[in-house]
Amino acid sequence: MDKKIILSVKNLVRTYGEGRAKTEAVKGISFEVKKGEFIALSGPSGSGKSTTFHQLSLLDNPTSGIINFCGQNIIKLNEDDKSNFRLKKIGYVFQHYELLPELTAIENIYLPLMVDKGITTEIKQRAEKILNEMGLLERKEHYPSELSGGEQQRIAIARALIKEPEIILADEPTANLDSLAGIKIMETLKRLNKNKGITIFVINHERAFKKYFDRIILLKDGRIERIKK
Amino acid sequence: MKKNEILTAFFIAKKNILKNKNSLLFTILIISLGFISSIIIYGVLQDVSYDLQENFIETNMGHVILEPYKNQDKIENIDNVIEKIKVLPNILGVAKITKKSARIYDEDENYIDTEILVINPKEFSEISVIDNIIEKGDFLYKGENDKILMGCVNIESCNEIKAFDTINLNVGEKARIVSNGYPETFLTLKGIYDHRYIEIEATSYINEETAKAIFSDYDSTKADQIVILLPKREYAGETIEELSKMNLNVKISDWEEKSSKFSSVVDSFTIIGNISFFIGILISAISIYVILYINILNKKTQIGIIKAIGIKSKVVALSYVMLSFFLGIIGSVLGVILTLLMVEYFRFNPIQTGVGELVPQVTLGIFILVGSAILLASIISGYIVSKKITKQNIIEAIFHG
Repeated sequence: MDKKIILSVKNLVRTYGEGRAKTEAVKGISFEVKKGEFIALSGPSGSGKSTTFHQLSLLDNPTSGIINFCGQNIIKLNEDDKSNFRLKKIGYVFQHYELLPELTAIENIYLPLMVDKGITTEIKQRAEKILNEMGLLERKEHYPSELSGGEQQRIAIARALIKEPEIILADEPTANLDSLAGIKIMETLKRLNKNKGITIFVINHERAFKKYFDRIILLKDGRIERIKK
Repeated sequence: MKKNEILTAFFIAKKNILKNKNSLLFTILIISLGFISSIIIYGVLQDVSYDLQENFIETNMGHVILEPYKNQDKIENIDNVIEKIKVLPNILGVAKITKKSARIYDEDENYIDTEILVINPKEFSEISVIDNIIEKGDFLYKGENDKILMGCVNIESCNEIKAFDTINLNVGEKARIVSNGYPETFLTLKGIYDHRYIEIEATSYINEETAKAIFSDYDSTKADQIVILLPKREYAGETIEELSKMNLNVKISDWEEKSSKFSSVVDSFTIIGNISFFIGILISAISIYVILYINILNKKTQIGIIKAIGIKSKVVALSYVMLSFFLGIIGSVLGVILTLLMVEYFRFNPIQTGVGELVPQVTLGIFILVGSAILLASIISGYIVSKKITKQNIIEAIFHG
């Protein structure tokens, strides 16, 4: 039986600037992501990978097109609903981790849950459980500046994960890490995908990680060149 | 806004404060300096106004003044009137005063024109500080009939400012007194008093016996004024009310009415004080806005991240309003402490001026006013800045912050 489609993108366009300075970063791409897939978006630099991810996660507003998430066109949501969408449905992992320097590792993880649940023992325990799964429990009171790049990235994944999102979007999560730390991150994502059934969509252009993905969408000059299984 | 959203905003603000102590300490210091600048100049000018009035009250004006009506020459039956006044509550002292004017010459024929007040020394010392500020010689006594007390400003050896005419006279030396309509006479300089306000020093004093010797028509049962000293300025109204009930057939004024001769000076200082106060508040508000703007601008990336994980803009904005509120509160508290320390310093080391020794006048009311203004400026600044920044595109904030 075919898996349910969680994300459907139709003719997505993102243009920057106007007149002569106009640049089309994404030129009308369409694709679908099924629930539970581990999928990669790949392509050379400037092909529109990050721009596509920013539109999918509603961090940016597309120029045109449709993004259906579980059947709802999320582009049409108002600002508060977009915030709610980012808070509850999507876990976003940045290439440069983007942890809050004022918060400890555990605080960075449970911050998204605070808005709904307050600071409760339950959310702290949930954060500790995830930290334990990530092998970082003993680092919970450390600030980002006291953690290695790999550790910070795992904290960023934990922050995305604690919300129990429908999908995790990870923008080149291994790009700033050495190969060993990179493998650890990919293994972590694969485990989450396999054990928890979380749909994972990753921007990646490292050949070594090809084996992890169910499909790879190849972008070139803002268009889909091909989709590899 | 939901309770947990407010708690989240508080949590973000708290962490921001705890992790950025040094830069926030600097902001707090700037806010407190704004607080001081708003209050100190205003306080000093308030003291100029207050001191101008107090100088006259404490020397020969008192808090309540009784004078004859225009159609009367003097207050008559003066001792009887004074006895009646003395039984009223809150009376510290009552003294009669008769005013004369004269020209006083030294041996070299240098002269000064002065107002001479005829007093009963014992009675007068109950309403005036003059007997406590004798620089050389002594205060007047009852029974002497050829002594005069003069202010430092009229005596060459005593006057350092040289803004007034002076005569060369030392304590124990005789001066020639010339007053229109009376034969000239000689009086011995009994003492020189030194008041911080030189305008006060331009008045000379003699006792009743001396007045009788110089001014042939002097009548000790009559006087130009009755001066009443009270424990506080605020009691004047109450005392005037009591006096009015006594049907004394005299014109009754309080210290404020009698200060009208220098009220334009007081008004000018009050206006300058108010302008400096509002400019101080305005500068503080602008400084707070600029500092918070720079502070929050530096947090653009963090604001972008917080929004990216799904926390609403209004929660982020509230956290910065809370931060601004905290900065405003601590800045104001520090401002109060520093201002009180400065006032205490000036109490021991007053600012020396022609008006007198000035100590900034700060009251609880002015602290509350400035504190509220600073706090309001902090909250509004925090709100405007955070609103402006949280409106920004998330990608712009994170990657170009």
